[in-house]
Amino acid sequence: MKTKEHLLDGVPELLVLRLLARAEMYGYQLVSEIQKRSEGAFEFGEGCIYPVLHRLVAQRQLLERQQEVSGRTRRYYRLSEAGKKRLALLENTWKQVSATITACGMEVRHA
Amino acid sequence: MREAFNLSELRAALRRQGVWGSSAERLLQDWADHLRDDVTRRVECGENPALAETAALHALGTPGDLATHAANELKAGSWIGRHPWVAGLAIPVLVWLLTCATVFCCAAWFSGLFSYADTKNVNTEVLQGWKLVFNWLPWLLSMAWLARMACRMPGGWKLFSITTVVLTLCSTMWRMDIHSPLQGPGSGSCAISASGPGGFLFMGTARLFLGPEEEPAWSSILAGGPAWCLSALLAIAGLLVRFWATKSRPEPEQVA
Repeated sequence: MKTKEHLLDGVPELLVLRLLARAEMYGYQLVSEIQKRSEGAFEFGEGCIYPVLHRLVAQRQLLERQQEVSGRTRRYYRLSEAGKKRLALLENTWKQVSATITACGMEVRHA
Repeated sequence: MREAFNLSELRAALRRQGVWGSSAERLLQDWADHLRDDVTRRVECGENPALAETAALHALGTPGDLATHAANELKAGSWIGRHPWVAGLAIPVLVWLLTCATVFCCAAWFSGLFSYADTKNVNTEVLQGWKLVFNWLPWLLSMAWLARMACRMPGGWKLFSITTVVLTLCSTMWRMDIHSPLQGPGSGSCAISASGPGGFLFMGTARLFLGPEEEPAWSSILAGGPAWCLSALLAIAGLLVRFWATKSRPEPEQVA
């Protein structure tokens, strides 16, 4: 599925928040998880996730901690309370959009 | 292949999008770490190291795409980025107006006192200081904001150019003249007059509505000349700094 950029607005953020709601992860782990679960459905560069992570940290929706692994500093991210609220809001919006699109599709089929 | 993930190229791409400093360095570090992790995983899965690097680079994204996405995310994360016209134009002009009004009100209140005061009680140095503050503080604030805009440019070149023109015209628009009551009580005065091209345009516009009560003071255009010229020079300097900062500089760093 070739996804257009404007259609993806907000989707990386939702994916990041949903995955981090389940467990604490570091950047590469998170990207790998998105690729695995989406089965390549989203064709945005893997590197695009990092600016999203930085923004969410700046907005205090994510908390980060650093850990030394094999001589390198690895940043682990987890959801904050504000992040949980944001996730609930985004999921609600997503459900509404999805329901609307589904409803429109059904009308077309019946027309 | 290794040249494809050239840090200097990525850094230059980020600069062109207005992302630099610690934000850019942290992103570069994350991308480099990601690439190393991905190559390691692919090699562990049995891929040829060279092919693994190529695949990892392809998956990471092109420098242009990464920089554009990073700039958009950072803009979305800041209030200035989300409201470029308010932050880039409305607020600086409002700050300039408020500063002018505050200094003017203080001076007016003070002049009411000193006009009738005894000469001995008036500190002429304070008055001259006030005049200096009124004539230069709004200009300094405007130019400080312009310098900030030149670095971040959340609204791009268009907004920067408009902000430059507006601030340059506004910040030299009014001038305060204070004459100390050296001839005795009541001999002092405090007056605000239009100056510079901005002031001349303002007065010209006011006369269109209020009628030509007096001849336009052509000399007033030149009154704010030095500050106006300095504003224009600073604006040009800001543009040059911006241009210098965004052009790529070759660096030997590469991710192995």
